[in-house]
Amino acid sequence: MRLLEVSDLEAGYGDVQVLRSVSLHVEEGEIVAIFGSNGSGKSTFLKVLIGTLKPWGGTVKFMERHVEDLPPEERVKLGIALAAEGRKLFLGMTVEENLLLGAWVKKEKAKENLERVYSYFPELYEKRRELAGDLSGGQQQMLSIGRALMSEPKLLMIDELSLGLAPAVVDRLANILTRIREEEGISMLIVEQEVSLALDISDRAYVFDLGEVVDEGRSEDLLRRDSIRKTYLSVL
Amino acid sequence: MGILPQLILESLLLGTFYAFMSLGFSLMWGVLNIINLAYGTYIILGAYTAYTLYTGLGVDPLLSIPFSFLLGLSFGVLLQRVLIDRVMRLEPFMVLILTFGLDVFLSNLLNLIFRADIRSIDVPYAERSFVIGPVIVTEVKVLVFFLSLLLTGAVYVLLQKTWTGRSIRAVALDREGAQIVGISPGKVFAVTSGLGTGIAFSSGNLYGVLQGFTPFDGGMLTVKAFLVSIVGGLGRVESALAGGLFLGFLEVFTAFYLGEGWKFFASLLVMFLFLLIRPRGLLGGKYYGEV
Repeated sequence: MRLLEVSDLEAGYGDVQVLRSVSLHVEEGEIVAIFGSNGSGKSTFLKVLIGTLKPWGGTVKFMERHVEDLPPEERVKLGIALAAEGRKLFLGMTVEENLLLGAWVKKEKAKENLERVYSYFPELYEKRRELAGDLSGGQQQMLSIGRALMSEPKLLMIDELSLGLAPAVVDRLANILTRIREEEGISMLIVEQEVSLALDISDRAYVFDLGEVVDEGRSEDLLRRDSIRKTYLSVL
Repeated sequence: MGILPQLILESLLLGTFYAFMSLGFSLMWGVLNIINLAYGTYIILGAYTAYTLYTGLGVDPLLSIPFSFLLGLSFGVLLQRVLIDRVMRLEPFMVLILTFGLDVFLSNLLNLIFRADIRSIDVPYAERSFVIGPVIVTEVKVLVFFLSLLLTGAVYVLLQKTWTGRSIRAVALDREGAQIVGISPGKVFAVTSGLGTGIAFSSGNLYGVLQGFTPFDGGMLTVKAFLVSIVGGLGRVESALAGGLFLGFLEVFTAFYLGEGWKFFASLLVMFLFLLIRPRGLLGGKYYGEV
């Protein structure tokens, strides 16, 4: 089944149009990556999907249901979650409080999900009483993803997975995400600058440029395509 | 020694009341990012509520605190939903003018109903006092102290340990982050405004037994709440406590050593100095992540 179906999405800030007629879909259980240069509208796209930015036009269907006019809290309830750009953590609160807030729409299962998230990220358990602001970059990214998992999403969206993180940390995160998909079947939509990583962890990928989808396909196919290799993987 | 223990005790008792009294102001400022110039008059509204219940029905002003709280809560939620939300969205600065107008309106409404005479709530235990070693203290002040402490503690627990409290702190720290996890900022604004106004109203009951009041005393109380928030720093219960105690000590000591007339002047001077030298306040900083 199509979990997410975006058609002809247009969006921007003020008078400046950022997204032009973007269409994209995510199947159930799929990991889909979005890559492209800075300012290509990737983060804006996720903001429109979670609902903190209103689209100018086009439709967003989640599980066959139109959600483009719903406020973020309704979308989170339906099963969309975002680990946002800049992580948007509550830096002055403890790690555990941050996770609990992730369970805002699923309070009755907060305890259970806390254990589940701690099992994926044991270091968050060790640091559960520390302030989120005192964590390292990698731990903050884990917290951001962990917080998103607390609402038991069907679609987990991650903005800038590897930004500012050490390669070893990125590898671990990639492994954990693959494990989560295997164990829980959660679909993911991952925005990633580093193209080799994006293509490595995803089943399919979309290439954004200046707010448009300029290329798409199965990740393994894209990896072999010359245009992709030249532009994004600097292979000559 | 001599008078010193007495002054310290008086400062502690008064300061704790100031802390509770200012908590709502600090909360609304921190979470909604508005400076509510009608706040002091909310306190006076609480005092008149307690006064009316006491003179009309004989209900002890300390027992009618829950009633004042609920009245304030409803008033605060309604006001936020109907008026402040809209203005906040359009132009935050206009909220200052809106609450200023609200202050003028409410104090004049009270004046129409109760007239400008000084009212006081003369509870039977008003004149009783204890002597403990070198100090004398009235029963009323001790009761107000313990109730302020208890209610401040209750607000602390609410903010730290409940889902509602966590959502309030989350919105204060990162509005967009809160939206992402599914919290509706609009609802949190209404709850915060309700809680803050409820605190103001219930502190009015305590204020009413401490001293006489008129419909126009709100402005001075707003300034005090403002000072407590500046000196203590915003957004945490501990900050309000620090700011409240600071104001308590400042007022009691300047009144004793320099004279009653210097009290308000000294407060304003200190507020000015804090804004100049340490605008984050004594404890400010961590709670508001973006600072």
